[in-house]
Amino acid sequence: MEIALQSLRIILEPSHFLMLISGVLLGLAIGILPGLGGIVGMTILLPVIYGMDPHDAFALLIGMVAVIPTSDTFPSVMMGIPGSSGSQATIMDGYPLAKKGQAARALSAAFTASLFGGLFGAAVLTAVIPIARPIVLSFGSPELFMLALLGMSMVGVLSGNRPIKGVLAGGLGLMIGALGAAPALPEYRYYFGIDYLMDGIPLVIIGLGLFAFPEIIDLLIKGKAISEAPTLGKGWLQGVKDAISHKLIILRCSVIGVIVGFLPGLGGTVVDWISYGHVIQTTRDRENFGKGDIRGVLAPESSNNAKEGGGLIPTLLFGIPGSGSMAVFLGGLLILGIQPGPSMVSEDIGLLYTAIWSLALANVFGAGLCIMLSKPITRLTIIPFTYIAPFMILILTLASYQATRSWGDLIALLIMGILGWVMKQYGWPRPAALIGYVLSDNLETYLFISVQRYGIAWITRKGVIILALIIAISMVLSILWKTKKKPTTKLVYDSDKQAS
Amino acid sequence: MSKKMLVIGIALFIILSIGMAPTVHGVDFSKKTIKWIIPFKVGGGSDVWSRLYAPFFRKYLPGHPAVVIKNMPGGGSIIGGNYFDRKVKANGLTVFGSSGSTTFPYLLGVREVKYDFSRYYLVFASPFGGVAYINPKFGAKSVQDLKGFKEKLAYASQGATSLDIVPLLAFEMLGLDVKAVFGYKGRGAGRVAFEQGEADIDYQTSSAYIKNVRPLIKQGAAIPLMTWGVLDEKNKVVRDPMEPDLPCFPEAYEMIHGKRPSGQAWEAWKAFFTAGFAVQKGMWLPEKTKKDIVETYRTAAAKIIADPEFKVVVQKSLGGYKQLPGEQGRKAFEQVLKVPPESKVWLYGWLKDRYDVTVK
Amino acid sequence: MIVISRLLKIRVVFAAFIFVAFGYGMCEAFSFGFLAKIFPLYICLFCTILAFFNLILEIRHSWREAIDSGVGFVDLESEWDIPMSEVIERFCRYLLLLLLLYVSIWLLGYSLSITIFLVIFYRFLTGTTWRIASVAGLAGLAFISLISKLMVIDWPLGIIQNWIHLPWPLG
Repeated sequence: MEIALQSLRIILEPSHFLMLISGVLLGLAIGILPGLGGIVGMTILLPVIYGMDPHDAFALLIGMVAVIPTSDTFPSVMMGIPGSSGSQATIMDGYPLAKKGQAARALSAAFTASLFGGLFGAAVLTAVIPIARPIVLSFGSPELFMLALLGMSMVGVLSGNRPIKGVLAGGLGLMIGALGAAPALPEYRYYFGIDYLMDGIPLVIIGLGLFAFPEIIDLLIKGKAISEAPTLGKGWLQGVKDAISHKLIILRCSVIGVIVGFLPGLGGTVVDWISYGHVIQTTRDRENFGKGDIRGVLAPESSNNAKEGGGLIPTLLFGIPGSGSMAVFLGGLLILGIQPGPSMVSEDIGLLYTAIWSLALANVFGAGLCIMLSKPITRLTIIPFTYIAPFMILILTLASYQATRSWGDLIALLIMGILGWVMKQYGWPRPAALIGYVLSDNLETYLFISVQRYGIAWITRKGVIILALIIAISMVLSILWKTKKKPTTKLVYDSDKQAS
Repeated sequence: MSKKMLVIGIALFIILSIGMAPTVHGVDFSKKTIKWIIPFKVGGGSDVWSRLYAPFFRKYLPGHPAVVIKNMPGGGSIIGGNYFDRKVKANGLTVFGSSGSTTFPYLLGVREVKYDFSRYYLVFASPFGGVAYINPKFGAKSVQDLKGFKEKLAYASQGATSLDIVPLLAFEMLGLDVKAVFGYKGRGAGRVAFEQGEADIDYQTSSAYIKNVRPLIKQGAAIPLMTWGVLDEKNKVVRDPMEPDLPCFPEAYEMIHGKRPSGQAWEAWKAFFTAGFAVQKGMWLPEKTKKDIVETYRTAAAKIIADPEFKVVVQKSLGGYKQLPGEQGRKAFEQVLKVPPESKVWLYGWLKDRYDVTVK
Repeated sequence: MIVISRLLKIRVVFAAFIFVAFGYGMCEAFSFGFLAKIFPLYICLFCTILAFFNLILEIRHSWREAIDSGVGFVDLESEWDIPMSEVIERFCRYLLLLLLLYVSIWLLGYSLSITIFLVIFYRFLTGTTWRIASVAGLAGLAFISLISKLMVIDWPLGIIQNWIHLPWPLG
């Protein structure tokens, strides 16, 4: 307790505080610009932290990474373009709300949920430290495989009433993810002799190509402004009220966020889809999802902030990154001369508390700043899109190119973009493809390790059985509670009705 | 003017010009930027290594140029290596940082590799050490007890052609029956697997070992076995100074088999050990670089390594091993370049028979 | 002829493409080493079969649609208030624009191209004055130069950089 308070005092010192605020501002900027995420921020900061006092550096780095899941809501809600990989699910309902002129409501709800999620993540980080080790250790490769499978089962929920296309899209994602080096062997698959493809297509490009590109093109085709309603709507207080009235959802999804962030290998990029899928599964009233149901904004926004707190647990306590940006953060730790591991809980515990406080404070400031910035930024939704489009294209190409810094990035962006556009028009659920892609590596790797190590016996492990039951229950529930659609004589293929 | 004055004048002139010649023709990087290509992504081990060195190069290179890290990840560092080979000008403004993952495919003769270390100039090399340890449930208290060990051991591996060639070959030479489970994404994951019981035997780099495995040993959850060792000036494998109580691999071999290691397997192991640990990371200048530039860099490296401030960095973040500048590093790297072809052939055979892996 | 015109709808072509892609994936998978083959093989096998059914369904529906709504390509997407053919036409136009951008990057390098792209887009597609367009172009250039410095990224160079030596951000 004493150490915790001492760390708080250290953070509030002017120099550290300045670092925190700088990190927050950088994170704000990065989140708002679509396609740039935590990895970019870490890359920018890494040269800067050399030789810094570790407390300062922590405040800076964590301040930055904590705010991105809050500020990335802006482009997602206002343009349907993911601000970062953790904000894609927010688009499903946030964007329709903006189109109805309720951008303010969506944003304030999102920020409230983000704030809660972030604080929850920080709180869990604090509480869990003594028991984190045994929990992380109890998740061996078979259990991690089952978790990835649980993630895949979301494909069903997210496909709405187009199950076949949903599964196919998921399969497509799995195969695109399998492109490149095989996890267990020095063998390269499906790369057609092209150097670039030897490493597979980077996540940024999949996200931007499948989601951002089609949205930009469609907005250009429509030739209007983003908001189809003439006014912005009042919404402020309404958004906060929504958040409070659905506090259980926020709590549940924060828990999901922490768990997904906490377990290495599940990938923080699907956490928003998992909580989005979860909230659909667990309600009978599903009509409005995809059309502007505020719960569809609350769920992903709380979980993607909570996951940052969760992600710090394996990173700091085990040296295993919980996500891509955590991997770079680990590099930062090594530059600072800090070796993550059990020593974080004993010798370096002061730093651990600095991390926690930075996380909590950054979330508070971030949410506050975002709320202040909302008014001016939401005005952008009434400007005709042709004013924004060219810069969007610039950012899209820029963000893609920084993935591997080669021409392949730009070409892959174009190809994935065309694929994403066609999928959008003809009703192929893109979230399913994204989930397949993200989980592909984990599914294959953990399956193989499990089979190699345990033979067939891995199926009988306690953890595996428990998780299998959870998957079964969630799938049954989602089928049972589906609203039955009246049979129609002619099937109309809508592109953006439900999850697509 | 007397003759004496003239003679003294000429002598002074000669002395002064000799004394000043190096600086008149010296290398100067003022107002320039040095780009250090690292064929790995930001935050990785090699990236961190270069970032620790970079500010010191700025300090000791004449003209104090800015030194920036240019990450070029891809193809397991092959893409960055090929770029360095083909596209970099030999004007001393671009250098390359290699790691074991860059050297291994080169050693193995992987088809995609276009770079060739024998053509470049090594500025300095950094050794890293590895320490192997085992689960105590088998009852072995030291590597001696592994003589005639019959149990099957699981090892969490990143792949048969990764740095794991060193531990896998070592274990096999010691007569251990080790099943390599492929697919793990790094030594950190391997360590977690060990703690979970998924892996029975594991190794860690020295810094990770000190921070993460020593506590396990104290709790009785791990038994240290041996280190791979380090190369001394005569390029013999000797005990690792970071773990002086543990035998190095050749010693362990002798403990088990009663004689020093020799033969194809040993030559192969030594070459890959050198590439993967003894000179794991190195800074290179391209092929046609002029001698004075190479000398400037090597001198700067030597100064960095002697700098007490840098010594602290080495202790804290680079494992505490003696860094090898200039000629020292070059001689050590020779071991990698001079691998006897029969050893390579032997290794290909071993990879095929043991792991069904064909190097393309 | 009618058959072909009904089948050549993008929807059907795409479904066929997916079917072929999975089939190809399955065949390729046979050539991999054991551990690398299992995952892609079974997924592609399952998906090829599913994709086949999907293709049949798509053909059926697009056949029916063509019959019900008369001749031609009138494809009602309830999302759009313009006919689908118009949507596709506009899409192709924007795609062409992007392809031109890419060609320009190849010839002139990224920095120069994106600046020109911004200026041209603002002037001709958004309809602003030359002055505003130039400001936008310069703002874009400043932004990518900033990122280039911060992240130590070199934007792609074009062919022109081999011949003419351009000052920093552009060359």
